[in-house]
Amino acid sequence: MNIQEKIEEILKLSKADEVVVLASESSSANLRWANNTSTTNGLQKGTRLSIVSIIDGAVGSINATYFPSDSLEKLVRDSEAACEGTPKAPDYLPLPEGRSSGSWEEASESIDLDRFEGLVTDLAATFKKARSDELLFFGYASESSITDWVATSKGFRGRHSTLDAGLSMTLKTPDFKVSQAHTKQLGSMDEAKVEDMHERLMKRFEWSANQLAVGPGHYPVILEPQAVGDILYYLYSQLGLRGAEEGRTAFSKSGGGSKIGEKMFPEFINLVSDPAAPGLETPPFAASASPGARSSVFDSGYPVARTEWVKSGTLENLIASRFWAEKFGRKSAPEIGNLVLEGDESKSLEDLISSTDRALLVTRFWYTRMLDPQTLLLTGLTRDGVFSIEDGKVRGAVNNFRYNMSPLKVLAQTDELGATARAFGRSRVPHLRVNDFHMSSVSEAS
Amino acid sequence: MRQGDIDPEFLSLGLEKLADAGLSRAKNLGATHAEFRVERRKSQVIAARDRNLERMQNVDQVGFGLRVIFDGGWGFASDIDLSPESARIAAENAVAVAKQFRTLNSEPVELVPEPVYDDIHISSYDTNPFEVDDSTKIDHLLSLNEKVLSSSKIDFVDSAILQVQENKFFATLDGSRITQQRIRVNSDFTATKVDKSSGAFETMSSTSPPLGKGWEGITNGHDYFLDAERIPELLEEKIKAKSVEPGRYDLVIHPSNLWLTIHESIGHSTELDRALGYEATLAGTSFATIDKLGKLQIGSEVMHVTGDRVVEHGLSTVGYDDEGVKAQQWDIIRDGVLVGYQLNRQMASKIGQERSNGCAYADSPSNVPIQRMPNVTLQPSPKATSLEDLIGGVERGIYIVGNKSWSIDQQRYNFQFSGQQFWEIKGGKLVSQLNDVAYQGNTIEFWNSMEAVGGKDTFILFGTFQCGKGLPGQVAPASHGCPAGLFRSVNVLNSAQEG
Repeated sequence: MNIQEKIEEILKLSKADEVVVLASESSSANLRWANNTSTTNGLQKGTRLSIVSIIDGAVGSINATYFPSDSLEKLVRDSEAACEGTPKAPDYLPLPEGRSSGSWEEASESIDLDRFEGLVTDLAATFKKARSDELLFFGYASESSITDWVATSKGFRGRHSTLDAGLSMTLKTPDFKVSQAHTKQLGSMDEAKVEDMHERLMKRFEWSANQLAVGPGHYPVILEPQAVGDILYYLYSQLGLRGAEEGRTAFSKSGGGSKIGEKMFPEFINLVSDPAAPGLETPPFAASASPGARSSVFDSGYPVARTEWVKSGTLENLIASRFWAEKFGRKSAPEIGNLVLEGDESKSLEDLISSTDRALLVTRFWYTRMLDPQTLLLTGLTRDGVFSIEDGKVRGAVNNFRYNMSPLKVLAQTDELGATARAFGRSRVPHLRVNDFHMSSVSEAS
Repeated sequence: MRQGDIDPEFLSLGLEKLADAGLSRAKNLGATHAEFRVERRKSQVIAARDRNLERMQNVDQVGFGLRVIFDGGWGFASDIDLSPESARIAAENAVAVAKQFRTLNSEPVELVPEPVYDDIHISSYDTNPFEVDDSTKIDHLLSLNEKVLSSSKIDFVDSAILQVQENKFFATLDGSRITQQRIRVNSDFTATKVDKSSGAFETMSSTSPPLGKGWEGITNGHDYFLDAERIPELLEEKIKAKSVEPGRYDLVIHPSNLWLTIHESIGHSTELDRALGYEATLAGTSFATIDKLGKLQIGSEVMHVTGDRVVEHGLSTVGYDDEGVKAQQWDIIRDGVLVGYQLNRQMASKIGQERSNGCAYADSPSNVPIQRMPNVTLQPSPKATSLEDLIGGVERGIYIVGNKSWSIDQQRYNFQFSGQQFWEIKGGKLVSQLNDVAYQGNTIEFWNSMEAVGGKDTFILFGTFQCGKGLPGQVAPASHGCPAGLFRSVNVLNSAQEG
């Protein structure tokens, strides 16, 4: 029985009022290296099945990774039994009527080790260069394929497949006193350009020849896309309608309600999610194994489309399942698995640097955590490359910092956008020049 | 321990046959070392929001992983199909992976030796939480929420229970056969007060420790209902409390906060793989480099830190680690001096140690075991120093309870932690709550400023289910027992003024 046949069998076996079945098959390969030698690696296969039974509005679910054909009936009954003694979900809605999305019958894709052949050759050459430069080379490469199938008792059948790869490269001096890193999220391992990434790292080693000590304070900064992604992740995590309406997020308005409609950022700030965003494609339908205010099992199969969270600096929408959107009189906007902060593709990093009188250039952040959810104040640290820019030129590398800063202030105080690149998860964000960024203290880490 | 105490569903997975198929194929292909792990991990999350059940999620993860050393390099493959044929294919894949990447190996993998074991280990618990009715757990959360909401001082409450049963069967080419079962539970809640007119809100969470216990860890340990009674009052006071004046303060830190400072600044910095650079791509490196072993005064003389995988109810407690090394206890910091690291078999060989101290762990059958944190414990004072004694020794300071926000740099120098409750200390006595407190410091300066630790009566075992490390990312549970501690002249920030 293939996975599609197992799903149909589960739907047949179900005695629940309604049932949602989510299944996935995954295949991945990875390679890690450190100190100029490979360290760990792996070839992995996985499957996952969620059966969500809904009886009298109560939800019972099971999630299994091993589900041979002869186990299906027991799994269905277990999910039904889980409804017993469970109160009706307060946000229950009947499942949306069915339609189909994607090529249901198509099988999943396996990741083959051969796909790493070119990478291994390129990495071997880089290992050699690192040794001759008396540097240490560290990194991680991975490629994964995930195929999801979603079916409901209302006739919906959806399939979505994702192929993703990532390459992370770090070069350090043997005493670890200088460290430069670059990470690229890729559509597949074929897109890996090891030599280009190495060249960029070596350029930054050149910049690091002049080491400058800079104290804590408020500085203009240019944030590279990885740094922007690190903090926007937290903004996205707080972008829910329910919490805002209840008065307990940074998007809650004084006097009650949410800040939807409020101009929060400059005119050029546009933040969107779009299932069809090129290179960041996500399922064009909602799917979840549990109730929730951002994504809900009761929305499974509901179509999702491009949604503007921030349009021309104004908060337009907040993430909401159908139930919570209706409750607060807003447009339903279930969570979409990607995020795009629009940039200016005509402006390279070099353009931004050359048009900047004075700023710190930040490569990435590390260990970012929420400090105060009321203002979305985050804390974290810079890492793997901070540089001083003066009069349109990089003057040298500076020490790392701890920052305390809200992404709301970052966007509000952005005065220039640059070209975009892929960042955390399935996001695409630009370089940002921010006119005031709070570096709270110096970190001795290098 | 009897085999009959292990979950029979796990034992029925044909463990020996799978292992024999995978290991014998690996041997035939020329692997010089092979280890085969079958794992089943059952977990349940139940979350309640106000007077409603929000979510109940049951996950049953099963699969196996096979790791080999071939031609001096590692190779790993995993699968979820529990058939001998799949085990044989996994062995072929693991060897193929090792071959594919061998041109990148400049150092052959070496492992320190470990005796062969044939054993069964079950963690210490009374009632398996998976044998408790779901309705009992839901009732527990809804009753707790009702108690919190019965106060007019609270607008919202979120609560949750998380429980895990982890079964592992480990077999090696050289003959080890180890079967283990561990149970852990966690529960907590957060109360929220909203002032819609001003748009302000504030939260306070219970300070309950996750433990390697059964259902009794929820019902017979921490008093959640006492928390539910006190927190509305405490939260109201906190909202009205004065905002802290930033500056240097003496701090008395309760174990509910200090455990996390130990985890981040001492636990992670003394991982040998990190100190040697093997985690540089993600988690970072460490200030505690190998040249400092036996020399670096990390903390004051009252600081004695142990690593272990044996303490009863510890989240990292096992019979054997995921490389078949028997669980142990050892010193990491003695009299404030760095004297030991956390090791796996490969890292131990890199610094000439004769044996690993058993810190290898894989968070799922599809991941390789890497060096993960054991229980890292700050030992209490042999004196009967009480919390009141510590507070009594402070003229101007702050007493901190619970953790909230935490962050540390990638070499574990610069940290910043917040908390749930901050109490002003004046003249050796608690005065009233403060708000907006975060303490920031350098690990070595901070631990050297520790003047005293409490006695064993102040000692509590806290910890986490979710410590992240490695690529692909893995999470691991670890406990951190500690007494209360007194620290002199620590930098305190006002978080409201930081943004």
